[in-house]
Amino acid sequence: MTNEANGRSISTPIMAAIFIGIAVIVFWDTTSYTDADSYVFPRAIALVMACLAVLLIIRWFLVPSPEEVSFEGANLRRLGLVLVMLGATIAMPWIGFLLSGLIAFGAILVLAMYDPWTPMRLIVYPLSGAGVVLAFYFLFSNVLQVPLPVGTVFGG
Amino acid sequence: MPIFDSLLAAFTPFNLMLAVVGVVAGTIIGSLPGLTATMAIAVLVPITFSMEPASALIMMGAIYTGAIYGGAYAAILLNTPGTPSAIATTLDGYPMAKRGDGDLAITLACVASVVGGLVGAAFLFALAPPLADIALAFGPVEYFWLAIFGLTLIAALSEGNMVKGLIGGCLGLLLACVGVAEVSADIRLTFGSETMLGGIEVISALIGLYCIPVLIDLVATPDKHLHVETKSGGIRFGDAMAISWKGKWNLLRSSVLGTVVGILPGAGGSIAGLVAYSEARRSSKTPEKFGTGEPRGLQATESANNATVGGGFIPTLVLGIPGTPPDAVILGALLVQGVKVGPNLFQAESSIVYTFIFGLFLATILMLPIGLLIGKYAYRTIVEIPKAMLVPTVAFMTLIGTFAIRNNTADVIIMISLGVMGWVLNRFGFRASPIVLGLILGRIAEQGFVQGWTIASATGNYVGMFFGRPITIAILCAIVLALFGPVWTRRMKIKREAMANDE
Repeated sequence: MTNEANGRSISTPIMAAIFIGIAVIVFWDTTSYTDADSYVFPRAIALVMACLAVLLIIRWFLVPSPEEVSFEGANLRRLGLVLVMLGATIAMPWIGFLLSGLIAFGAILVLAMYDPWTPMRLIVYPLSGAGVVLAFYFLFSNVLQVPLPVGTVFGG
Repeated sequence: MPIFDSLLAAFTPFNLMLAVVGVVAGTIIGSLPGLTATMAIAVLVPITFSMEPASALIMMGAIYTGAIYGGAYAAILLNTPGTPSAIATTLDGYPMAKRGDGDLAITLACVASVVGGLVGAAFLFALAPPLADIALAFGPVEYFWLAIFGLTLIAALSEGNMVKGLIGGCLGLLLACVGVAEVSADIRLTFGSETMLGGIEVISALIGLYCIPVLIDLVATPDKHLHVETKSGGIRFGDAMAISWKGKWNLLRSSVLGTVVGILPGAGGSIAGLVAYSEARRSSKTPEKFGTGEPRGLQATESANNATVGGGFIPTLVLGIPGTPPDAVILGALLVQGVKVGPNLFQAESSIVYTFIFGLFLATILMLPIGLLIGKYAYRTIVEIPKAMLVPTVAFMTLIGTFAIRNNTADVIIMISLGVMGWVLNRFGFRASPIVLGLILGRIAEQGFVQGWTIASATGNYVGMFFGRPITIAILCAIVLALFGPVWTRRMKIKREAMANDE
């Protein structure tokens, strides 16, 4: 996201504009509050944030900074990781924490694997993964008494 | 000789065992992202109800001091602070681990934590009643400016991007407003989402903003997660002691700063670490090395955050005002025990207090062998585990750790979303630390600001309220120094170099 012509990264004003937008949304949201105690602080902070974003734009005009924004790497794996984690979280109330944790662990294991799958790895990695999940599940549910969801699908 | 009796009482085999168990449990719990020192004490507090008050205090103090140190492991090896106190530890700890000095970083963190813990305990022993008065001198406006000071410090540390750091801090403060307002019960910044109604929990945000971006990047490349020296045994005690001796003044100064910040209720280890880090960098002849894996940065943060343990006990025991969140749990446990905290505690129940203080010394000293041993295995585990196993293990820990905070999936969804947001913002030069600190300090800042605003509205003196009190002026001067000091120093350096070139 670099404008080669003048050596400036256009990402800076775009981000500054987003922060100004956030400040405006916050200010708009505060108009529905009934008490001054609720809106005085977020309004003040939104105002400061908008001023700082304007300052960022002014500095961008005055001092050229050709900073590159890089998204190198396997972006599909990145997306996969986030989707698996979100999917496991959403599925927890239905299939339970243990099953969703095991599925998520397996899926992320596949996503993070760059070495070839040897027969040894095919056996050891999933088994160790299941051991880790079960150990943490036991620690949290039995020792720390955290009520982890058991899932409605299986009659929990 | 009541103090000598207390010394002997602290060193009974039972108390020694409690200190060992407390330090081990605290260190392990603190090292897991999502499990904090407060949670560790809260979970284990019922065990102490059947004990003598002094023994109960020793165990809770040991858990506390171990948990604060344990937070450094994940900060150094995974760039994820195990506890909020270890935020500043990531700044130099993770770069050290990345370049192959993770074992040195762990050992240095342990030595610094022990020094900090001992200094904090020494202040508690010698100067508790007079120091407690500092806490009383701080009003709401002073707390507001203290929170802003913390944010300016971390923004100033965002090398070359101070404005972006300040914007990140503001974003964190706004995130702290999400949910139901405390006084008026107005629903703020949820935009109709039920998931957001409970607000953004600090620890889930901490896990999301630090841990998820690391996972997102780990999964995207085949590179190894940490560079390792093949001969490393996991502990480099000789090297760490040599560096610690060389940086002894840095260690002592950071420990004293940590103690003083710990005295201020609510400020806690996160601000203490940052203040000490900032001061270490300011006084260094090579400040440009900070943030690139500078051992002195790590020393400063780790000694300061452990010094808050002793510092935080000062207002807790003398005034009954908890200095940090874990102190609040300990205060509750003391009330159950029937111990009346307050100015007379050091006279009326001196045997309990001094036995506890000696127990705290004992637990802190025990942290050296225990911390090094656990650190050695933590380091080896993280280094030797294949990346394909590390990523799902850490991802699963973030899920279960975040869920456990308030037993709901909304926190987990918020954690993942904040993590993605943090990863994107990081690409554009907005770092996670100011956002997290804004979120942590948001409540203190808002409370101070609103109370100050209300008083000023009643008196009609806004300028006097926010800018006219002596401590306020001192903090404001520190803010101006933190913001413009580095700019001024850089300009002077360029000027000097230009003059030298002309000559």
